This record gives sequence, C-alpha cells and structure tokens, in this order.
Amino acid sequence: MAELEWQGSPEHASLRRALRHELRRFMPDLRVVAEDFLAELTAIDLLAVGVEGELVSIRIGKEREAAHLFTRALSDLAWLRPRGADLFKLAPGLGFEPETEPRAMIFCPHFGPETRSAASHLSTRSLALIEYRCLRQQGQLVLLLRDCNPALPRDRRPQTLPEHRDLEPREPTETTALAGNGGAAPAKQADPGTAFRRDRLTAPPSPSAFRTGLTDADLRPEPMDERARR
Amino acid sequence: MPRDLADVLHYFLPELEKGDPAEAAPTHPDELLSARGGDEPADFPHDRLLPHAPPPPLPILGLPIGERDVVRTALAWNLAIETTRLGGSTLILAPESDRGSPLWPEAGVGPLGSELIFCPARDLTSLYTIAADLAAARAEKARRGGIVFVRIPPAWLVDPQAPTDVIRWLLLLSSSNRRDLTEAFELARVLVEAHPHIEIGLTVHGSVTIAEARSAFEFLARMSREELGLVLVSYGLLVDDLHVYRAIAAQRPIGMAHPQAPATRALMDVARLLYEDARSQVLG
Repeated sequence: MAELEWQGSPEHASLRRALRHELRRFMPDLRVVAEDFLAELTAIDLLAVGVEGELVSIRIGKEREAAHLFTRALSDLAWLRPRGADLFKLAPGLGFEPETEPRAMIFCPHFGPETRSAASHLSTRSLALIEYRCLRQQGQLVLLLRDCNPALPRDRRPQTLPEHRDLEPREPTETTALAGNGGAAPAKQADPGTAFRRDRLTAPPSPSAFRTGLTDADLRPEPMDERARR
Repeated sequence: MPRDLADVLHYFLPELEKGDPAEAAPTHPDELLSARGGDEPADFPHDRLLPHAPPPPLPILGLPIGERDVVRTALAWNLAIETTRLGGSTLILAPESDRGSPLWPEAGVGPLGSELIFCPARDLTSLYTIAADLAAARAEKARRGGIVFVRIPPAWLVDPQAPTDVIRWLLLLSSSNRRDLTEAFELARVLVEAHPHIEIGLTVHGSVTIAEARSAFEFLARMSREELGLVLVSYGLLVDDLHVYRAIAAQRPIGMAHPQAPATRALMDVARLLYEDARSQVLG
C-alpha cells in the first residue's frame, strides 16, 4: 500500500525538483531548459520552453510569498521579452522562438483574492496561477497541482491529464513545420492569427494510447552534436 | 548527493538495518538455485524473520533479445541505468551463455549501481525462477522500488515445451518498419496464447520523429487489439543516434557519456514510463 502523508514546507530545492518532475505529467508540452536561471535580480526557479517556442518563467514559493512571486513573475516577463532573440542566438537548438511572447507561471500553496484579482487583469496568456500541496510518498516528495486561474479560457488552461497523455497535434503548427524543414521556409504558410489557436493544448485530445514526454525538439541533436557529426 | 531526508535516514537509524532478512537471504543466482534445488542452507535465519510482511517483489520485465542483437541489448542496459538514475533499484538478469559475449559489459555492479548478473538458467522456467527469487530478495532494500530486467532468448519463448502463464510484463523493442512490427506482432501472438495474464509494452526504436513512432505504435496496437484482444502499452520511443553506437562500442552508458544527446533524452523518457508503471504495479 502506498505510504502517503502530507508534507509541511520542504526546502526550496526539493520543491523545485518535485515541481520539475510533476510538470512532466501536468503540462507535458512544457520543456524545462534551465534551473535557477538568473533574471533581473533574482533567479527564476525553472525556465521552460512552451509548445510554440515561447519562454516560460516558472516560480514556486510558499503561501506567504505569493505577492512577491507575482511581482517577480511580472518582472520576469519584462526581462525576458527583449532577450528572446539573444537567448535564441545563444542556444538555437533548444527550440526558442524569439518572436513569441514569454509567459509566467506561479506555484503557491494558496493565492489570496488580491493576487487572483490582479492576475485576472492580465492577458489570459501571460500569467497562470497554480496551487500545490506537498505529499510524501515512500520518502519522495510529490506535488499535487491545481489550476486556479478562472480567467483562463478552458482550452488555455494547463490540463490535469491522465498520466503521460500526449497532446501532439496531428498537423504540425507553423513552429514545428519550420523546425522539421531544418529552418527552411515551411511548405504551407500558417496564418499568424491562427498560430496560437492551433497549438497542442487546443488540439482535440488524441485517442492514441501512445505515450511520450518528448517533443520533436527533444529529438533534434544539439548544435554541438551536429558539428561533431560533420 | 543525497536528495532528501529519506536518502540519508538510514545513517541516523542504523538499528533499522539490524535483523534485516535481506542481509542473510541468498541473492546470488547460484545460491538461489541451490536453495531451491532441495537442501535448505543450514544457516537459514528462521529466528531472524521480522514480524512485518516482506515488501512485494520488484516487477520483472522480460525483454526478448536475440543472441547477437547488440542494439537491443545496449538499449536494455541503458534503460536499466536510466531507471537507476531515477531512483529505482535495477538488476539485469541474462543467461550464463551471454557471459563473455560482446553484448554485455562485465558482470557485477555497474554505473550508478545497476547490476548485471548471469545465471545458470537453461530454459524459461529456470530463468524466471531465478528472476522471481532475485526480485523478492532485492525488494527488501529497494526503498524506491525498481525493476528486474530479464533478457529472454526468443527461442525460449516459442519453444513448444515452454511453461505457460509465467510472464507477466514484457517489453518489445521494435523499429517502425512494417517487417519488424509484423515480427513483433507474431511474437505477441505466441506470448498471449502461452501467458494469458501477460502485459505487453512496445518501445519503438530508431524513430526520427514522434509522429513516426506514434504511427508505428498505433499500427501494432490496432492489430493486437483486433486480432489478439491485447491492449498494447506504449513505452515511448528510442532514437537511433550516433551516440548509441559509440556507446555500444565503448560499453559506456549513453546518459553518462552524452547527457544532452537526443538518445539520452529518449532513454530517460522510456525509463521514466517503465519505472512509474513498475511502481504502480507494486502499489497495486
């Protein structure tokens, strides 16, 4: 029988590690590319790349830190926005799309009404508030996540999915089409206005039982590897 | 480096280790086989049994791998290592005839604590008997669960004299080409007939894109469902990367030699799926 017990406040590094693990199930589209990534003044807990190649700042904290995290998340957005192109040059193989708008996600045990209200005034895409609870299962820290941002339209919310359900679209988005062509022009130009609507979260869930936490970007060799091949 | 308190708790509570039946229980395959063969070892610690129930044995994952199949062997070895990296306790069991073959590295404890054992099994019955005993013995110390990987010579599976209803969990490694998938299907057909409670998984290797692996999986899953009534379980995909072949040649784990390579990412992903399913099997 599973030994489950509620866990109080684990140390921050454990929390970050558990979140990284849990995100693979909670948001399989998200690909974490850096931990403890220094932004303007403080370090972003996890820096990820979303399905459209957008940068995602992820911060996690304790309940009393919600307001601080909120401010820092907004600061991250402002800091990341002009740096997308630089990061793309530094790490072109990681799948960043410099043209896309960054996003932020905040994980806290609880968000007060003021924080929720403040978040609801932002673009639905910019910021997501997600609550978590800590559990310890056979000595291992596990997070239970709950999306608590009612401002997000249903199809934009992170989805609590059956394990490892893959939401790979059947048709490639403009981003994946470009990548699949090795950077050449896509065979079919996607309408920029519909690019966001055709992402993996909005695609109908696949009936396939195929499971993977990978994206096509994960299968592309790193730039250094490519040089080595040549 | 310790990851949390549970990792280091045993240093502070040494008394928990005392009287651990796993210390005295036979763990080497030769010992296990002789213990089962008849005479019970004289020093069997009857008086040291603890009152609590023993933990459930580690799940046994069968891998049909041919005698000269270097690629599947390397993938299996690397999967075991990646499972260990995730915190699982892993063991690879292979028939003694594999010893000295270029398929495997040296027997014993390898990278990250993953262990390779050659056993004197000559057929499926003895192989699974040893695997079951090892799975029970190792479960005592595997606080985070784990997997016993067993290399099964395919000939043993199709042998008309092979025992029935022995295998519970088996992983097929197939490329995405139709001939390989059809071969995998034929093997699945034999397995389902002989082992009605079997759960069969598929990892597609050699894929270039996720769509290709998905398509291959769906092809085999549909055939299995329609013709065998079998629900095939997906265990992701593995990449045929130059690093895979270099690692095979050097007998070095890909994850340690090339941690950022696509092959490593894919191995980690498949290992995670296996490990999570293994844990859920144990937890019921």
